[in-house]
Amino acid sequence: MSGYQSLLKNAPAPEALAGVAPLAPFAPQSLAFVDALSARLLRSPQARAFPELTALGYWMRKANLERLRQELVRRMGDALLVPRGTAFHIAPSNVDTIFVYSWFLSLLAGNRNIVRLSSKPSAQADALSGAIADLLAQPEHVDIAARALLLRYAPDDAVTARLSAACDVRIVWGGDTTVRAVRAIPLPPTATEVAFSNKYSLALLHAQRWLDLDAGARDALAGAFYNDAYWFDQMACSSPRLVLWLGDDAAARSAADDFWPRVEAVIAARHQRLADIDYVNKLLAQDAVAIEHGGSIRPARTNDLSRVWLDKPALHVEHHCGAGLFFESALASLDDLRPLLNRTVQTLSYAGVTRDELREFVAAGPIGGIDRMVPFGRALDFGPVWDGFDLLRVFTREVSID
Amino acid sequence: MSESSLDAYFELAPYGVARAEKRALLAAELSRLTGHHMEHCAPYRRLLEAHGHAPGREYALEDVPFIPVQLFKRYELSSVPQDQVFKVLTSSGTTGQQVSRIVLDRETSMAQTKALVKIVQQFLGKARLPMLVIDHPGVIKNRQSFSARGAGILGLSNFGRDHTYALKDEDMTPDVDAIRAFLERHRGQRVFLFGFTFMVWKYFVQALRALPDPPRFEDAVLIHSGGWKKLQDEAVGNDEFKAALRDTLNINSVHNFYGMVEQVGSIFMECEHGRLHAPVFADVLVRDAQTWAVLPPGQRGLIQVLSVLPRSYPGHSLLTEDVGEIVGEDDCPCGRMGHTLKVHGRVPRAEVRGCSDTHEAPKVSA
Repeated sequence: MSGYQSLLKNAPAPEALAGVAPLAPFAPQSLAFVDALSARLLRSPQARAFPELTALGYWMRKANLERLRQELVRRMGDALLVPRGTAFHIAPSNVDTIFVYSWFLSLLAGNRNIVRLSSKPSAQADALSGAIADLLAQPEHVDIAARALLLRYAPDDAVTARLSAACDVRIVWGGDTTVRAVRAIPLPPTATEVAFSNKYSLALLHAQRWLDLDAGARDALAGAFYNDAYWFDQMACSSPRLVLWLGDDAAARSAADDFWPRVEAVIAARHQRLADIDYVNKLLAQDAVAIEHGGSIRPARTNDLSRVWLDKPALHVEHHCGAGLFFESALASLDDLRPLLNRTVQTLSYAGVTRDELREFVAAGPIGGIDRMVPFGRALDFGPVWDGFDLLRVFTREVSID
Repeated sequence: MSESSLDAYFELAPYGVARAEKRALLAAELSRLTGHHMEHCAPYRRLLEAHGHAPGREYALEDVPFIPVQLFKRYELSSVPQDQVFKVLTSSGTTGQQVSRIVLDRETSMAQTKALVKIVQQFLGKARLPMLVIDHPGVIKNRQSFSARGAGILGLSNFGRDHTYALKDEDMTPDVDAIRAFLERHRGQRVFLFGFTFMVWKYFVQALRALPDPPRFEDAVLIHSGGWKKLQDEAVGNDEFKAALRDTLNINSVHNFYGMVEQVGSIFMECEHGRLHAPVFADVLVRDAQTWAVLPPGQRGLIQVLSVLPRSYPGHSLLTEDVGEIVGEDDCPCGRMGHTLKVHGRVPRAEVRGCSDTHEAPKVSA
């Protein structure tokens, strides 16, 4: 009894992986496999139904992989990086594509991989794992198939312990509860671990500059914000939950009055009706925030959008339930962002603020949080540096030669 | 809050007021209650102010602000000073779940009892009937930790005499001797049965059906409540439920009711035609969750319940997590006035797509 369900046919046993040599970083076999999956996703009507799978398909294209490789080469300088061996990835259930990003960065680093998918079913994850299983059954990808386990199991410490015993690096996605539970399960003494805790994200807009934009630009940004916020039901760590308007209260409110109807137009055109329970939960969250912190619940065209304007900006993570719920506030200056930041703040997506202004803000004094800042529309883009970890470095070890 | 407004309500026939008058009465009273609770319950006031409401407003029935019933699981919302708290009701709930806490003063508690009497008398008559409780006696023994089941049984016990428990404490099997003795004592009389829907089905109907000679009732009225979820899981609907009671036990008068601990008293009783009726003290609206728009009869949405009884807590207008539809208004063949309702059960709980659930321990079902 393995205790897990393998999603690949004829997959090796976890203990057998160590007997197969790792591949070189960016090995041709690895590149060919990633590119093949990319082509498949971009062609498949089933995958094209999910924008996040299309985004993943683009990320895996040859040109992008080449950029990744060059970036790694540039960063490593003359350091000698070799694969760590076997990586054990524990995927989250909120973002169905993470397991592929995590696995493939490790694969490109040359590692053998054990990938545990969330036991929660999802159409996206099924489409992905189905395509992967098909490809790995083909003879040209035999070198990858010999170095990969893709599996699912309901939470079971014994299985996690068995898989952990076979790995050299463990990557735990899935938030605080998962991290705590998995951390209690030992790793081989030589192995290491990277864990991704619960994170929350912000959107920052410059109020006056928003009002100065032409209508086309505003609509484009509203569309970009919609993608950032509404994909993955606003439950990705990078999904913006708190929207901050840089400027005085009056400018902030009039910019917001212009912004949200544009977002609502995108929602109406592109978004499916939420589950009834989402609407109820959002109302409950708005009411709970109002009871505990005051604020003002702003009207919206439909309950697909739910807003609470806060007098004092705060993430109120304990009340946030996703599905298009936004806390919102004016921010007199960028410096007023500082008290809001802690290690749980991950992404700042911005519009109307320049990269230089943000660099200046970070350089002016250490910040307590924020791992990445991206323009609107790129909050959910996966990057090889995540939550402050350079994953390609995590998946390799450096051999120094004096 | 003046008591006279409620006293006037108790003068009305519970199902005797037609739409126009009922709407006007409810709108006025619920508007007053909204102002009353804003004045006396600070968290409720903050909440309504956040939604842009100010005290003293007159609302049309559909515009009376509503709050999600789940709020009572997170906050103890009270409109009376601590020294006037008469008792605190808690909802049932499986282990580990948060329970609702409903603060009652003497006035509200009495109003609940009165309303319940008014309603139930419509179905049982004024005389107390011999009562068979479809539960085990232990369910009401521990008064400190009363379950909603125990509270419901005690509440309905006011309508019966010779209270007899139909199930055994040890294993919930039917106490067949006690049931037969009960029938023997009350030959030729009308009797009253009360129990929770699932208990009635699982431990009474199903268990008795397995006997070679199940007891036959002569003239029995069964009132039951508690929800259909577990029966739906077994694919048992109201029709099948009633047919089994009729065929197995000769119980021909069966009334379900819809109600909740957050609005005790103003329950929605099922009539002879299978419709749940809003009594004069209460009303029901069905809303589209995407817009909160009130839906016309025949369309499914979330049930909002309104009641003039809650004086000590702001529970007069609640958005439930139940899905239902309005069947009609003032047009039931049974002749009772008011909205009629059909309940389809709980709104499905989506899989939580939180960050932190890959390793969540499997849920123990209670």
